[in-house]
Amino acid sequence: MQLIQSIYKGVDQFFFKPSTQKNLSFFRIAIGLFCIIQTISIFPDLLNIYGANGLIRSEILQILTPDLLPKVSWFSSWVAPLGISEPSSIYFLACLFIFVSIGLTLGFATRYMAFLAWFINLMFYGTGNVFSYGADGFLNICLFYCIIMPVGYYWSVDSLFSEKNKKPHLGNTAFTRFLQIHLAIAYFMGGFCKILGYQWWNGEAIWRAVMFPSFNQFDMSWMASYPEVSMVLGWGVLLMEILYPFLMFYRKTRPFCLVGIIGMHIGIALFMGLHFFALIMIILNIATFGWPYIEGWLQRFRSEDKAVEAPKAIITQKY
Amino acid sequence: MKKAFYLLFFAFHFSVIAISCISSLGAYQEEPVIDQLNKPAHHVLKQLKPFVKKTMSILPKPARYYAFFTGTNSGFGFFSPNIPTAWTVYFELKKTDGSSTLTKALWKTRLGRERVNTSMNWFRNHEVIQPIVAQSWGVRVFEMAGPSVSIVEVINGMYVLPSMKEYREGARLRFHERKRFAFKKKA
Repeated sequence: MQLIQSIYKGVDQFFFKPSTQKNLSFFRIAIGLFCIIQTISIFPDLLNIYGANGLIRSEILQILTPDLLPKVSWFSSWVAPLGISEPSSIYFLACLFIFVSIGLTLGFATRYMAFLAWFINLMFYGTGNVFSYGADGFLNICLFYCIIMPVGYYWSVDSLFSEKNKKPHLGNTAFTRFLQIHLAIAYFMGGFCKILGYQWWNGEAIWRAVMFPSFNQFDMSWMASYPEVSMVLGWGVLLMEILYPFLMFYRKTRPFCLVGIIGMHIGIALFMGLHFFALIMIILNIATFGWPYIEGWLQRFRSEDKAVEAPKAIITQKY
Repeated sequence: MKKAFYLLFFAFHFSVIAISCISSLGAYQEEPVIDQLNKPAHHVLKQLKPFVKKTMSILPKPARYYAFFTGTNSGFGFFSPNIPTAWTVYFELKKTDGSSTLTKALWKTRLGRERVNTSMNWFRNHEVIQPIVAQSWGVRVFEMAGPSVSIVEVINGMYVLPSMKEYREGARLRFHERKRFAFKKKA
């Protein structure tokens, strides 16, 4: 009986310790901005990717992509009676996505905006499924999480008209844990699948990743003369990903793992050119495990400003 | 009550993710990939084959839809088990005056190029539809290249990267042409 009680207490403490942490609101703002920047970055190529006469004709794409997913062509056919052509409807949909992403960033009608952003993103994802990569998958997940998580409690237009943000609530910690567990599974699986091959063990994976013309950003051919470097990096990636759940949930190793994992993603952005994938992973890591450090620094800055009046204890929420 | 609801939802959500992750290992048991695995992994995955095969069918249909729409059906196996050989496409544009140019980047954005690179892996894996997709590319390139181009040749191939040891011995990255599709504009 005592064991059950202590398990219950442990679970309760782990998931439902009330908190006023603002990490989920940071997550909302960061994801909203991510959507805006990504859409602007792809805007000139929208028709090439998603147009009926794009690089892969819509008839072919429709055969290849699952029927279930909503498609841009649905929207085009909805607005066609209004005299809006198919290319214009794609640009209009992208603008609408930017608009709802701004709404999400500002936290205005947050859940509705998150739902619309998720649905429109799913339309683009469903149409250009063949062209999608890791960042799109994670964006889909993140937007879905913006619908179900309490992301609009702080730094939002909604919070100006609500009393909810005044007191700590369980959803905050529960969904932070939720994100943490998801990220831990994702990294663990990433590491596990890499361990199955041989290139990550002998360093060839790093060599290939930085040398293939589709990723190559700088001349990295010097690596061939120092195979130990790529081997160490490969082992580092394997260790960090496989051990991510343990290193992150154990508070003493968390800062080191966090720095390592963010460093790895900065490396992916710099040396492989996958900026958006790196960015969304950094956002996720900061929102889930890195926020207490950022909040601690912010409080330290604030308390330094007020140090002359009365020194205050720096309180950081502990996950 | 609220707490119980949260926990139930979390249990459901993470079960979906876990099942999707396990069933994604099925892709590693397919013919070309399993040969690229290291020996212990090869052995373990062979043993797990029946279990992995059954896993996805555990999920009832609504849960599969849920996984699909929420993006939780991903196996998260990025760049694994190895970094595959990079496929790519070039276009040879032959103009009416007889001159020709070899081009790769007709896309206007970096992100567009990134996405097209991603689609190359998919193209490589679907040999049956390659001619129709190449035709689709050809038509688009005709539209983008302007009226002076009379023939577009779609050249598909892969970059063969030597290993670090081979590179030290003098081998270099080379493009290996695999398929070429030519399209002529109608008069």
